[in-house]
This record gives sequence, structure tokens and C-alpha cells, in this order.
Amino acid sequence: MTPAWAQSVTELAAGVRSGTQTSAALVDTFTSRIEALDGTLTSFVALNPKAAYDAAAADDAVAAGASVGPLHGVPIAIKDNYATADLPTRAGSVVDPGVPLSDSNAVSKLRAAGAVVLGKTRMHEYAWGMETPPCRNPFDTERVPGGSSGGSGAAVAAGLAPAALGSDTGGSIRMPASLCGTVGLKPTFGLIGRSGIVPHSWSLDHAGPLTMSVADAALLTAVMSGPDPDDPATDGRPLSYAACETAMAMGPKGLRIGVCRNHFFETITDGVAETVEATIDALAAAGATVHEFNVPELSVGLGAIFAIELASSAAYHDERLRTGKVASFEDDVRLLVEMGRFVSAADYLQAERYRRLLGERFAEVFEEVDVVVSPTMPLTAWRTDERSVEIQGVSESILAAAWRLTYPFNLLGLPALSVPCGMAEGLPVGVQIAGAPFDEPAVLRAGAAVESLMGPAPRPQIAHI
Amino acid sequence: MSDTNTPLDPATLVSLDLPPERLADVAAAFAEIRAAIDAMRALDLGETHPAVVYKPIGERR
Repeated sequence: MTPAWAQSVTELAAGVRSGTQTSAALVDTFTSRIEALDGTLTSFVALNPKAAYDAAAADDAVAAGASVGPLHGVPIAIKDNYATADLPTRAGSVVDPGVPLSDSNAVSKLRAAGAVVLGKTRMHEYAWGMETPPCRNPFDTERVPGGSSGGSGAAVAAGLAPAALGSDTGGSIRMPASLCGTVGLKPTFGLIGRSGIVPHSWSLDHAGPLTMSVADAALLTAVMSGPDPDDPATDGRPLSYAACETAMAMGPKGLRIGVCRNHFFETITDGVAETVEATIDALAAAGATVHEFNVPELSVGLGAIFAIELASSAAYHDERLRTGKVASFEDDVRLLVEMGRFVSAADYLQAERYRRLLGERFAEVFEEVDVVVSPTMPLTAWRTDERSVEIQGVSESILAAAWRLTYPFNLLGLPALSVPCGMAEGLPVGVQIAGAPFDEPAVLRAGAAVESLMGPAPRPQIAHI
Repeated sequence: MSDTNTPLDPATLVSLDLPPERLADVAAAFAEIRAAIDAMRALDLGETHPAVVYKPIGERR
């Protein structure tokens, strides 16, 4: 029998509902694993002292025959930028973000579905980075887990939590998912309300889950979707898990896959290229049709995400800039926040004009295809001391390289999923699947097909200790 | 600190109250980002409007 730590969220929830396992035992299992394994990974910053109490209450409800939600009794880890009623929220910083002890919209929806908050996961300070120090990658502890949701990726991959929440402004869910070998879903902008999440860049920030299966990502996203009166960007429509289940069961036959050959397949490592091309070939062999295309305007997209994210971050931290509090930030984050003052208003608006143009290009693409498939990242996990990388003979800063393939879907607000599709040099590789606005079912359908064809998410050796 | 009474003072232009050497470091680090932004600016955006467009709030229905 699969041990509890290795079971999916849907399996754990079914076990609690049926009484074959208890929420209290699950909390004990994951807490014990964190105590045993997280000394090296440092993926958690805090454990919830109320988790055992909440789990016992969940077990009492099952014993009493109460109606329970789809996540009843399942422990879930929360990124440190989501407000929680029972744990402080620090956004990975010594500079207090001033978040009250109350649940963010997404966490309140998880709890309403029965989830038990296990603890808070480590993040790159104020979500402004791709490395999440001092957290380590469970596949190689000399390497980064990615960021900014690095603690969530490391914790889920190592079996320290069955699922975790992340946030994604330029790839911060999908990057750690790719580097740690988990599933990560950035839903359509507006599908999950963000009130109670420490902002980074208002028009780019997305909430979403990191899990070990595509079905789990669908379930958590469906639970967290819907109205959020305190987030003006929220669309309000819920995601139907039943519709996702139907889509995931359809398989790849007849699925129209788009492959954007420029940008997404340029300057990527041989290992990533071979693994993702093998995935596309497998989808085609299983009956999907492949349509190749180019979007030349992607060649200048980095300037747009830089302009919007830097300017937004400087605006959000304006009081901390004026009062000198940013001097207490880590050096890399302080530099990025201060650089935001160098972005002119005219450049910001040019970036927003570019964003609309790019949206028009991809709207045309999605008239022809159901999903767009690419690598999630151009490389596998890099060493913690690396600040630049050389790919195909091109030297590039980590800051420019890491999010090159993920940020377009933050600019566009489109749903984008990272699914493990194999290994290169002993490290996980993720394939990215993007879809039309609010077409999460098509994205999840393709993701489930990849999972079926290429095998489930890998587990690092450390998880089996 | 720099002389904030001079309109062309670099710290005044970007409204960052930093010592000159720190400001120079930030400006040097920004060079890579400026190059990326300049590349975007070179793209012909035609008559494209920004993605963020103002809408009045509190509309009566």
C-alpha cells in the first residue's frame, strides 16, 4: 500500500471521508517528516500549532456523520505571503509586511473545503526572486528549488506536504514545480481571488497550487476559484471540478497542440530540449495534432515584464523606499526594488501596450489550437552559488534566463501548467501547457495526458528516507 | 546624500534618497534591464492601446 505521505490529495481526502485514515494521523505523519527531513531542505518557516486541534475536529466531524468538503482533513502547506488566521505572515522578510492574523480569500476557501493548514512555506523575499534561499532542492541539495514559491516546491516533492499554495508573478509557481518535479498551476488571471496575499505586481500576480498530480492541482484550483469581493481583478466565475474531471478523462486524441518554435525553443539546454520534444512526440503518437507557429514579438517581451514588475514592486514598496526600510531587505531584493524607480512612466505604458499586442497575437493562436506546449524552463536546477548560466554558448544572468519561458503567460493572464515530463542529468524537467482564458479544462486535459504518457511526478531519494 | 536642490541631480530624477555610490551601483545593475526595455521600445506598436485602461467605478446599471 502506498504510504500516506506519498498519496495524492484526492486519495487522502477519500481515506479521511471513508474513515480508513484519520486527519490526526496525517498531520502527525507530515509533521514527523518535516522534523526528520526539513533540517536540510528548510522548506518550512513555521508549523501550525493548531493543526493537530483542527485535524481532531475534522475526525470528529466524520465520526458524527457530518457533511464534509472535498479536502476534509487533508493537511495543506501555505506559502508565507498568504495571510492566515493562526500563523503570522512575513512574505519571507525581516521587514514586516503588516499582514493581520486573518485568512486570505484562498485560505478561507481551502478551510471551507475542509483542509487543515499544516504550516507556512519559505519563499524568496517579497516574491522577488527565483531561488528561495536558504531552501534547497530535494533532488540535489547543492542546487536551488526555484522561486519564489521554492519552499512549496521542495516540501511537496519531498513528501512533507501533499500539496502547497504558491503565487506566480513571472513564473513563481511553475519554476519551482519544474525544478523540483511537481505539478504547478497558474490559473487564468482573475480565477482565484488574491485578497490577503502580499502583493508584488498587481496585474501580474496569480494564486495557485503545487501538487504531485494534475488532478490534485485541478481540485485545489476549483476549491479556491470564484468570487473575492476584496480583489477587484477577480472574475467571479468558479472552476467546475466535474468539468475538469471530464476533460482529464478525455485523453490526448484529437487535442490540438500548438508549438511556438521561436522564443520557447531557443537557447534551452540539450537535456530540456530532448525531454520536451519526446513529450510532444508522445502526445502526437497518442493522437494529438501538432501545429507549429511563431510569434516574433516575443523576442522583446522581457523588457515588458521587467518594466511592469519593477515599477509595480517599487510602487508597492514606496513607503519602505522613502523611509529606508528597504536597506533591511536581502541585497538582491533591495536592488530590484530600488531599480524600479528607474523605470519611466512612459516605458511602463509602452509595456502595457506591448501586452495588449501580444494578447492579440495569442488570441489568433488559440483560434487554431487548444493548448500551447513548451518547456517550463530553459534549464534544470542550477547550483546555489551560480548567478549566471551558459546555455548553447550564450551567457545569461539567472534573472533573465530563469523566467524567460514562463513570464509571457503572466503578461497574458492565461492559464499555464507545469507538469513533470522526465529527467535530464538526474534533475526534473517540466513541460509547460498554456491555454485560452478560463480554459483550464483543456490545459488539465493535456497535463493529464502528459502524466499518463510520461509517468507520474518523480520523487527524490530524500523522500524515501 | 546628493544635492536634491539640483533638478538634474540623479537621485532627484529617480527620487531615491541614496548615497551617490549606491545610486551608481543601482544604475549600473539597471543597465541590463534598460537594454531589454529599449528593445521593447523599438517595436512598432502602431495604434495599440495599453492593456490597462481606466474605467469609471460605481457605474449605475
